[in-house]
Amino acid sequence: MRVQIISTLFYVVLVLLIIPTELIKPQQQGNLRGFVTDSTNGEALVFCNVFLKEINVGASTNERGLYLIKSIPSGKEYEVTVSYVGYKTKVFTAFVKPGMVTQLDVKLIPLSVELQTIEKVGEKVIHENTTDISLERISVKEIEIQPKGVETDIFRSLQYIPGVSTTGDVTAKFYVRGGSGDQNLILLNGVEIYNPFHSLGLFSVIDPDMINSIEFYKGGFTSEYNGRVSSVMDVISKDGNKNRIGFKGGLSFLTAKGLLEGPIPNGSFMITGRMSYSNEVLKNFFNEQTIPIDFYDLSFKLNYSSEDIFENAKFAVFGFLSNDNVDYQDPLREQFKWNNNLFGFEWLQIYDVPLFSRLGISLSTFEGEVIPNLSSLKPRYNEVKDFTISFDMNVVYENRDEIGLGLKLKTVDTKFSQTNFVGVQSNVEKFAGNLSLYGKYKFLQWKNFGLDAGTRFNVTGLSSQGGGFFEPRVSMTYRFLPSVAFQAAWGIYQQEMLTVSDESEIISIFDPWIITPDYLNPARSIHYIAGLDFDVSRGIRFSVEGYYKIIHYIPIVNDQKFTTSDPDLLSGTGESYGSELSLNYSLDPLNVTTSYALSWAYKEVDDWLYYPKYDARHAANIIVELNIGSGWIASSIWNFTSGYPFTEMIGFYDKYFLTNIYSSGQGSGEYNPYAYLGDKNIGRLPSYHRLDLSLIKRLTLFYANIELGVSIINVYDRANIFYFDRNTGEVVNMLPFLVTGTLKVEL
Amino acid sequence: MKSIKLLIISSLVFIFLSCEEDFNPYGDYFERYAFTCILKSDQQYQTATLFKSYRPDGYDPLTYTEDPSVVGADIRIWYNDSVFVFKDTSVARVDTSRYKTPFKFYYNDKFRVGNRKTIELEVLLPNGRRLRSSSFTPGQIQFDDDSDVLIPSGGKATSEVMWNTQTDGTFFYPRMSIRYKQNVNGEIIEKTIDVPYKFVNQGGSQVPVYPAPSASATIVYDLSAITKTLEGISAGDPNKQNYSVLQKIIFSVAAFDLPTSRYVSSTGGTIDDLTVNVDVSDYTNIEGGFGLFGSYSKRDYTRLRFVEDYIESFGYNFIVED
Repeated sequence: MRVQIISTLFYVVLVLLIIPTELIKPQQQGNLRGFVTDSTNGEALVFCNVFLKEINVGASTNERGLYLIKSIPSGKEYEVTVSYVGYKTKVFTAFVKPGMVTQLDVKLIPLSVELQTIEKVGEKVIHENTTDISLERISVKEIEIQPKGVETDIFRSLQYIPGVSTTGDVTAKFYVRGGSGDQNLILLNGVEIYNPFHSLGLFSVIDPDMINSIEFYKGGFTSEYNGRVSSVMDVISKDGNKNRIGFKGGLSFLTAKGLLEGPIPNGSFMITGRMSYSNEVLKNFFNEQTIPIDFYDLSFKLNYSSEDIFENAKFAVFGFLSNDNVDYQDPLREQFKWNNNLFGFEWLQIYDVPLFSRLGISLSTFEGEVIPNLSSLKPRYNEVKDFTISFDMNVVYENRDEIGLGLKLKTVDTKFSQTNFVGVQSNVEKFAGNLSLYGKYKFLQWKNFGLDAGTRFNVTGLSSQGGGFFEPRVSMTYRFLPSVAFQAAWGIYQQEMLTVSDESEIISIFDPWIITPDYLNPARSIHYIAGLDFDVSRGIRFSVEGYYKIIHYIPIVNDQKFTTSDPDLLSGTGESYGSELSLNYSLDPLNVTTSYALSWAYKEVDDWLYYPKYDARHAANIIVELNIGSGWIASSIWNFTSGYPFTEMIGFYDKYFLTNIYSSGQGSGEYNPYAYLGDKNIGRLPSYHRLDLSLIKRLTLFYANIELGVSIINVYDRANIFYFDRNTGEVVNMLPFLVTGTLKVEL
Repeated sequence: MKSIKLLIISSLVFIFLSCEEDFNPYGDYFERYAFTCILKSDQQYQTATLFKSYRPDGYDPLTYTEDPSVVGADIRIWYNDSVFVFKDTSVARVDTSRYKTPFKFYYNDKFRVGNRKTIELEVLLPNGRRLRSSSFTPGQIQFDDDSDVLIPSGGKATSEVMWNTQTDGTFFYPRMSIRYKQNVNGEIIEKTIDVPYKFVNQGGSQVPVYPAPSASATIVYDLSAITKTLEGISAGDPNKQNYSVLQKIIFSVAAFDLPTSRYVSSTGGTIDDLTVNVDVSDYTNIEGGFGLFGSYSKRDYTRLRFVEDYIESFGYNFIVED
């Protein structure tokens, strides 16, 4: 009810905002548009700046490398400066015709020494009124030079962002601003990946070599995204080299991988593959256990664009497959299998007027299975088939305002079966469809003020109670001083799919997805975010954000399910709030990022309030990257987190374990010590801190670009506690001092 | 410069000294009690145990060697409009590696439980605390086949037995045993041997797999597993004629009541060896404490019989019973 009142108020405000807005001005002005790409391979350069010096306006390229500068006084020649980190800045001359779109595609030449910091020209002007609070644009190049546990990993790099937490070195699973792991939407080319982890959550399935750009919303995301209540990670893969055939190979202690890319008539292709070849290094992650994990992932993308077929159209077909298998080769031991398969088609169309559209058709599946064989384990199975058709369009007005519209039709088929710890079976099967529409208005006509206001409307829901629900959202920026901007966001979000995972599992091999059952409301959250962004001086930026998030109807696994008729899930409430500060210094050859987060997270179920396992009061990071020169790059990361919650042990009792009722007397069972616990998560583990170092050398040998990397993890061998094993009395620590290496060869 | 060096050195010293912190996994201690009693349908001698909780000096519970048994409790069970009081007693402990004192327990030898009956429990501890519980005994086990089942059966490689109790959530524990007699220097010794339902190859050796409690109301025995078991009773002995196998095979099934089924399931192993669950749920149906109050009923299936030729093919004698 409260949510509906807030929604109604929101629409009143929205209408008042839109009505007086002058949408279309006389066509006395012109527009400049084009793609910015890498000259060596034709890859789109995202978030690249295009700036017109004469009139002090500019634009940033989007995730497809496309930019559009509106309302340029026409009939004149302009000096167009195009700049991007790691590329040589280029200056062009362009004549802007009245009432027309002038196309200017730009190819930037990469600098021989990568990561050289080139200040983006016009950065302040272009981002004056950008409504991007809580949005992190993650550079794969920066991730690549960071110290690696074993593999370069985009999810692991997230933990250095204030507001993102993880429960340990062993897992790449992450939690954003007090939300649980299944509340994070992971998109690859706009398509949802349900289980984006290899090896019990150690690594992400997305190989960084295939990535072009990553956008990560910690909250307050706008209307084009739906389906999750906490965060969104939007990954766009590379198109493939449009100029020549290229090959990249890489080797780590765990995997071997390769990437093949090249041109095709009117397009390009890219195919990458990665597979594990040894799991010896994983002993460091699994308390010296040898776990026979095998995995691979494979992705491809094919692009086609021909003026003969559709003018200004680009078609892409892409696919992604990942597969994990744990097989002990022992009939008395269990076996685990899980895989993701994703296939998609995309049609991007740019029109003669400032109008863009995207049509996407995709199929994303996940299948996970625990096969007990002859062990005492219970079988578990989960299958998800998600078929989605989406259409988005974006209209840009002469006054720089924009309208975004879209619809998405998603059908999901889920199957889930398991037997819980007291032997009660759950069988859940559901096929459902969600039709949702969104519309938003981006008010950008004032240079020092930007507003993105819109809503999503769920015509039908995947869950029985998810239809007919509005998700209004607004995000704004007000630059009240040239170097200081106030930003804020608010929104309502709904999530109808969830994982039936026991939140006490700090390593989990089975995270089954189901549609919210009929007896529960789908999870709904409200985000309130506000912050300040300071451009302190050249190369120094400081930002502070505060947030409050409340999530209603969080599904929580019912550990008191003792009969088949008992519900699998209970409904709870989550609440989190905190503030995040970050300071970035970026001037060649040094890049330093420091951040601090102060946060609180709670969950409440059955009138019982507790801290979720990922609630840490303080978190701080210091990241230093130094371009030494001559191909040498060094980096270090120091990470501190105050103690995570744990449930204290109170004592032991001698518990009866039935062994053989056919024996008489004391032989029918045995009594073993068993720990009993205090209130859930009332204790705190000691604080966590770790220093990692990395050194990379890049060199060219004959026709090959070679990169050698060495990382030292946990330099001072901090004994960070992962968990306490109550059965053995052993304190299990996270990663010890560890040296790892990587090799990459590019032809 | 000197001060920078000093700062670096002191920082390093600070960092290295802080490499490990004391960690205490314990919260404030409060005493709890664990009562365990599984009433049986096949005997009148019912037993129960009552222990108090404890906290060792360190984290290893096995270092705690003081017997946690609680004696002097008033334990009463209500069954069939009667109340049965349990008395405490003790026997010599089989394993004295931890506790040196005799094994203390409670017993009552005056009743056995039937099918589909309510049982109720109240334990009054010497310190005045009470533990309570109740359950409902399992239904009668019904076997699906009333005619004789021969082993081997018409060239089949497996033998299957099915049963039910018409109760959802019941766990069953089946067992098959072969009875045989061995002539040892003229003395006839009667023996039984449990039969695995299959053998599996584990690292090149054949490992027997025995039935375990589960919700499955059927079991399939590989004929090869029965054959291997029969071969095993005279392994290494060339005088096969010294062995006589009885025609009737003992096949028993125990059906647990719901609390015992849940308890057995929850203690029957971890979720898996890879998942790390830091707050594993502990099932109990004892109000105010831990443990279990439940029952099981057991029934033998008497229709399983060996075929004479099959037994004689091992060189054994075949004993037909009335």
